[in-house]
Amino acid sequence: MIATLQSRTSHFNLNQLFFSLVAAAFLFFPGKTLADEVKAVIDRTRMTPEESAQLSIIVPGGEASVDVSVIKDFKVISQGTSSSIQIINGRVTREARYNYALLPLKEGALVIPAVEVRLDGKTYKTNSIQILVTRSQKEDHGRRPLFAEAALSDENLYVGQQFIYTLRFYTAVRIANAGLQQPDFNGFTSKEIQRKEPFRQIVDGQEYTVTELAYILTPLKSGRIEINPAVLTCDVVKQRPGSRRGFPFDSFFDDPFFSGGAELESRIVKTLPMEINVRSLPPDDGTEKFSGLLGRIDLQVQLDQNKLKMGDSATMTIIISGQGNIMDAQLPEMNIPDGFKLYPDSPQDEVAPGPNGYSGKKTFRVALVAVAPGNYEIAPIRLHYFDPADGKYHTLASSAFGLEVLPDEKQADLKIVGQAQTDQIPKIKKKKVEFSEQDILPLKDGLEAVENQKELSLSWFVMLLLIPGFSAWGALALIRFVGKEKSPSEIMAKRASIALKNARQKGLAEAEGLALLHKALMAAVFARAGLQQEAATYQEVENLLRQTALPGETITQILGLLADIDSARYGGSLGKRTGYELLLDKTKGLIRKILP
Amino acid sequence: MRNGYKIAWIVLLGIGLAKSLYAAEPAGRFLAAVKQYQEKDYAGAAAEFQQIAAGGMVNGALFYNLANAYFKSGDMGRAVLWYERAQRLLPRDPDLKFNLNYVRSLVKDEAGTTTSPLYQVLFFWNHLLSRTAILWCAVFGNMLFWMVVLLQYLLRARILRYFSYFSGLLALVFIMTAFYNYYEYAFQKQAVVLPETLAVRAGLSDEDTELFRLHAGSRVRIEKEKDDCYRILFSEGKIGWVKKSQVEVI
Repeated sequence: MIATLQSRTSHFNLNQLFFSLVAAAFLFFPGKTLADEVKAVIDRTRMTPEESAQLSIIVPGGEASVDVSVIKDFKVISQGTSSSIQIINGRVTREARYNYALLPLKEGALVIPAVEVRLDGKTYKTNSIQILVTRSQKEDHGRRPLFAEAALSDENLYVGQQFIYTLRFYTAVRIANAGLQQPDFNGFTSKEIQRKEPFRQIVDGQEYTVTELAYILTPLKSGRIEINPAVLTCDVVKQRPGSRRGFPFDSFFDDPFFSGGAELESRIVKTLPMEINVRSLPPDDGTEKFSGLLGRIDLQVQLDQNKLKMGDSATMTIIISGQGNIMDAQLPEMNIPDGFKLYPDSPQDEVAPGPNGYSGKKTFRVALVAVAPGNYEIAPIRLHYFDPADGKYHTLASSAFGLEVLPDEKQADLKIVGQAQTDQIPKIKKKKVEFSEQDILPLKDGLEAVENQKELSLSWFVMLLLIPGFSAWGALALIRFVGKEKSPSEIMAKRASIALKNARQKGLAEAEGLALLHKALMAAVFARAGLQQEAATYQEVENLLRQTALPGETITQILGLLADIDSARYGGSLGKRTGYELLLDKTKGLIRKILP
Repeated sequence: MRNGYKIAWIVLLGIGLAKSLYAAEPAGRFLAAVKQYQEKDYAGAAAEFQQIAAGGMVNGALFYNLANAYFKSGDMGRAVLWYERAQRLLPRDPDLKFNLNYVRSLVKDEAGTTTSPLYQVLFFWNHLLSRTAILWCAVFGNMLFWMVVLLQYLLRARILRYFSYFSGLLALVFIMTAFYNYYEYAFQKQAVVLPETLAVRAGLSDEDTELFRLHAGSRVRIEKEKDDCYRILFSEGKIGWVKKSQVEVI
């Protein structure tokens, strides 16, 4: 365990070296050379990754400069320097001791390379030391005076799911000056659970004092997250060889710490780094609004009364309890009828960290102030959360509540104003606003002030009133005049006139001409009688004409003419044009007599 | 022929220019008056506004400004007079209402009741609308009535008959109101006391007994006029004679 150092300055040849050694031995150091006195001491050559080794570099003669940067396989922690003076056989020797804790960075056969020491302008270099670092074996525990362990309550987690990180330090020896460097817990929120008293535990036949620390960790992101090792630094109290043992009178003084027979050995132990797998929450079907709660959750809802008067209030108590992030719970959505005003109270949080994580309850109280009478039903309160135990979303729902609101005569004129409860509104005494000073309002400076707004004169006003009346009267007269209907006599007289006119046309066929003459004569007869019709028998014609003031002779002439025309029409041709002309003239003459 | 056209154009341009100058003059005066008012030359502003009004300009805003200027220059009587005149044209103007109420509150005499409150309720439209608005409501209401009558004759629709009754009634109300307003304007004149203190006497002469005193801004009704005097009614039982120059008809 002790390696002799070799000076780097030994660039002499063998003769020179031999000569120097002999000279030094004889002249200055009869036993040892300086190079022999410079020592590097390691307390073990075999260790586990969680253990540390103690490296001391002893330099005789005084303070030196020690360069440990060449040690790459270990994390080197300086633990200070000590010096001692010894007087042996009248000779005074001085010695400096440079102490380092070495933490292995990997497993295997690791090397502490030669360390350079500069003393009095000279540089010395140690030999390298090999240390075997292997995984701890259970059977090794029995031989290890102290070690550390870390454990996780769960290694496959969801984002936001809490779990417990437990740190245990096992000590089978007395330690002093213990210091803990906990992991930095990057990627988590952490909360230390109240520490338990150290307890005793037997591991592989060896009794240890176990100090346990536990943390509630909540991952903030998904993926693989590493938790750094926790490091415990301490001094192991050791019995100094040759110190007294078994003092018969006082066991107290048997303690090497007090008896002066103890020495402290610095030690460092650490846990292994740990890695956990964090998953994102699975997608929700979206039918319910996710509350953000993860864990084992319970919901209780109570309504303190089911009948109240208008203006009074009922209190709805909603308790969300269980294990998980209860402290993050928000007031669930409430579908309250319009007949109520809601006034939520500040929620009460009774959530505490425990050995299994956060647990407790959060209580919400909501005052429902009735503002309108009636029978109401308050819909169930629902809470949608995620349970990591089965990896599923769950929905809790309370029952529906019936609430009857009775009218209150005393408070009939109660009006709920705004959001505040009536009894919470500070009563403000209304004050009549008074003028502090008075003056008139300013000018109207728009140029519309110089647009004339003269009134209508009386004469114009009367005229404007009369114009619509006269216009309407004129329009009515015109409409009447234009749309006046003709009498049957006028219509038939017009027809007679037209038929006679057509009958006089030249080149007209005889039969056509005779038909027109018949039509003209009949139309004249109907016009005389005041009838609008097309045909009649001779007897009807005679009867009609008898009712008029026509002389009997004229009636006879008319009937005779009708007979002549008809006999010519249906009896055969007239033969001569002059016969038609005669009938035309007769018809014309009689129509003049008939028409009034 | 060409010369004839030229002359005609020149005449037309001259007429246009004269018209624009005529129109611009009140505007210029008005802006000058506003400036004087803002520079606290209230008497000067009142004189300018008065000039515009004397030119035949009838406008509620102008009368309001004139009243403001008179009030600021300390002429309470004329201030009330012009506010009252403005109110006939702008009966719902909030600024006018505010100023008139304020100025009335400064009048020393307690206002006599010349108009019955019942009348104000029954004929509310005559207080909500200006005289001009009532006139035009009558004209258009009458027009509407005759149109409906004509349509009803042509279409023979039963509903138009009821509409004609309604429009006829509406038109009648506004026509009667308009005629009443003409009558009131011609025969029931209201006036405002102009001097700081006015002695109302039992007769036309200055030697006649002084019955009571009125102060600037008090509103009176003119009952009769004779020579250069009005017989006025201030309130129930308070009748007397004053000089025409001491009051001005609204």
